[in-house]
Amino acid sequence: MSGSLRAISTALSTSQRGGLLRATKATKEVKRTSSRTGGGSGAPGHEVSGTRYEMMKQILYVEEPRQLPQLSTEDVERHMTIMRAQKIFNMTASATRRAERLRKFESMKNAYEELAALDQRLFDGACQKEANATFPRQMRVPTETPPTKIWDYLTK
Amino acid sequence: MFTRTAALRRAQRVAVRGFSTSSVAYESSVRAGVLLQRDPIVTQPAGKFEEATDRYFDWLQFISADRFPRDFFFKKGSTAESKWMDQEDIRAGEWFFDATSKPVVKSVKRVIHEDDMIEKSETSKPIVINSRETEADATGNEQSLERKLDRTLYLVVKGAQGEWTLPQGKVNDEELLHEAARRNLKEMCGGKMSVWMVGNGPVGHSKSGEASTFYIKGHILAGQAKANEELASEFKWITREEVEKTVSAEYWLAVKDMLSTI
Repeated sequence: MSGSLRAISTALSTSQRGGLLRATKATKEVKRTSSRTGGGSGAPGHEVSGTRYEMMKQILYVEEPRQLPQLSTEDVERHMTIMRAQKIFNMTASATRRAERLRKFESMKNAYEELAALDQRLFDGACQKEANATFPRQMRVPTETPPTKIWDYLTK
Repeated sequence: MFTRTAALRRAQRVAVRGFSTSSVAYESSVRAGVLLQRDPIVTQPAGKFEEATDRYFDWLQFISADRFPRDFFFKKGSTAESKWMDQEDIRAGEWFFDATSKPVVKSVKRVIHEDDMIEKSETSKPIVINSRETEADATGNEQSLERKLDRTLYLVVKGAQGEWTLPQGKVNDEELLHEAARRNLKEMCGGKMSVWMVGNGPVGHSKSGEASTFYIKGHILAGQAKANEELASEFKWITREEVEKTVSAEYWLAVKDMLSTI
């Protein structure tokens, strides 16, 4: 494994790295296998079992190093720059989100302190937790595109 | 004796009046409001940077992944296979490394014989993807809950004095904050609304003169607000930036920390 390939390989996830090292020409192999007529070594009643098992074995265990391009110094540098830029972007985004959470918490804290100073009874009531807190099933997770009926106005 | 009783009575009257005035002051000093929000319906749009990096990392994964065993998963000549082949050709056409190192790629498409063709069923309909921009966005209808789908919208109402605030009202005796908040929302914006209130405590407060208003957070799940003419003349569902433009500068400073930027 060349130096540049190793550099890029360390930047990838485990599954991606696996792909780099254990490359296959599965489609070719499968083509070759499927052209052969299948033997009947599988469970009785399964007509295609032989071919199918052969095919699966080929897909899973054929080991033939995959040809990846030789990366130039610029390629590796470019890759590292992209990685760094993404890291900075993620850090900025998470710092913004954190700042927002903190200001919301501060606002809540100030409200509780003010309430305690004004009215002890209401403050005690606000501190009570619901015995059987529930979560509504109607809450939706945001999706890429809206549903056909965007909002239910409860008009019948 | 008489004078003493009269003095006592007068003292009692003063005491009673004193108590009643303090009770009025107590009633007006704490108010309960609701921070009612409609949560985003669609995800945030990806920025240019995110789009570019996503494409690069997707491609990297594509060139380093094991080949997809097409023959194993697709029936020859099926729609799924042709879709996959189109996709594969597009991705194989991309190259982010040095152009000199780009290998010659052969198209994965193969000649489809007429015998292999599967008849398309007549019932199949093309899938129509809904637009993220809605009619309410185009018309600028601020009362609609179908506007700005990628943002959190907040309910604001126009009070009797003509100023915009979050829905709010008095706290009655023997009533807790969250109970009062719920009642006030119902009285002010009634209508058919399915609302989920989060917890019993306030998420923020605002002050105007003697009174402090405490806001309980809620999510609208379905339905629509309906302004009660006696208490509110109008209502709007608007984003954080629009709240800043709508409410008074003093009120904005009090509520801005509760509102989400997304």
